Amino acid sequence: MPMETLRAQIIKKAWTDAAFKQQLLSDPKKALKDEFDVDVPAAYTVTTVEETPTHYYLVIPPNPEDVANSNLSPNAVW
Amino acid sequence: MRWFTDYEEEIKMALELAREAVKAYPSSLRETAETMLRRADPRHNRSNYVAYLLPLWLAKDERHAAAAIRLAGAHFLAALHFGLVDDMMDEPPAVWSGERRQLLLLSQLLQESFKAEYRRHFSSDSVVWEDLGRYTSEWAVAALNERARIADPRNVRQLAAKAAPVKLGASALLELRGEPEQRTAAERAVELTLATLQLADDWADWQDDLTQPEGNAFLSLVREHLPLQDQEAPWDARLVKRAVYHYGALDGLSRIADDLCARLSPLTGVSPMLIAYQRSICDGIRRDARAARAESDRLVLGGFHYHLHNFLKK
Repeated sequence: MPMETLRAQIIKKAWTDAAFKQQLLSDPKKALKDEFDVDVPAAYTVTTVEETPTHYYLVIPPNPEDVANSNLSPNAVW
Repeated sequence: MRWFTDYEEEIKMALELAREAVKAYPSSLRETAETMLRRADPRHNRSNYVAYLLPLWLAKDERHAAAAIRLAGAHFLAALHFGLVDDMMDEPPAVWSGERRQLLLLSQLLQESFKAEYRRHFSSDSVVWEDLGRYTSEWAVAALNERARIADPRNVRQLAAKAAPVKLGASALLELRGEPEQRTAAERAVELTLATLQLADDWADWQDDLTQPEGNAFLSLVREHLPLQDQEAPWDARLVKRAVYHYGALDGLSRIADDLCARLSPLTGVSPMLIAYQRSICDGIRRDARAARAESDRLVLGGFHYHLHNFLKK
């Protein structure tokens, strides 16, 4: 499933399912596991925030050079 | 990868010839040589394919096919010889073990076996021997200067010199084909390919070279792409990643490689397999650059979005 689709599904469910939204806010890892079978590893913390019509969040992601997956090596064979 | 798959049978035969050559070595050296040949088998391991394939690509017809296979076998041995010398240069003599001394001896035997095969095909007054001398000198000068000057990612001759003996494969086949007039053009074509290969190798080895970055052309490019405030920053993996993710160092490498491909393909009389091989290197670097950009673009959408991909993989 494309990641953007899954993320959209999570948000849309929170929009329409008040109980899910509450759980997503209070215990995001459990909510994601129960509803979408997404396992967030113990090493990661996930915090859910809710915007309002007049209060928005601009999230600054970590720098790619600091992210664990960016091992930066060639895939080609020559 | 037709430049490889079309020649798998010939590579198998060439490797067998190389194994035959080392059978006469003293037993401990023979065993080491056989292990190294197994590891060098390009059908199973990532390898510097051009060293073995070049003679095969240039064997235009059946008349030269058998000789090309034998010479390809010789180039397996030459590659092991030069590889051992490179390894020994990287390790100071003070820590040489008994095993290292054995490898030095093995290196000499491999070189002699390589030359013995060439002597079967070329008389002592053949121009091929002069070429071997010239290419070996180019390689030696490149090795000597590797840490003495900053690698230039745009200097084709400097980049290609590290693998100069590979050019002998082209020289040999043109001599057999009776086409000496093609020598200069062929040498130029192989140099463009070797330079492209060296850029790819430097990109592959950047982490290993962080303690001695001068000889790595990709790291030279990294430094070029970093902003002024990072020009004197000490080398570490994070610095290189910053250059790639924020300042386009890998895109820069891809542009240089593509330029080398653009210079090779219009040359006349060049083996289509050599062109295809070089293009595969350029394509690989371009894909890696694109993958790095995609990684950064995914992270821009947020850390949660970025990791969702990995959370689901398990």
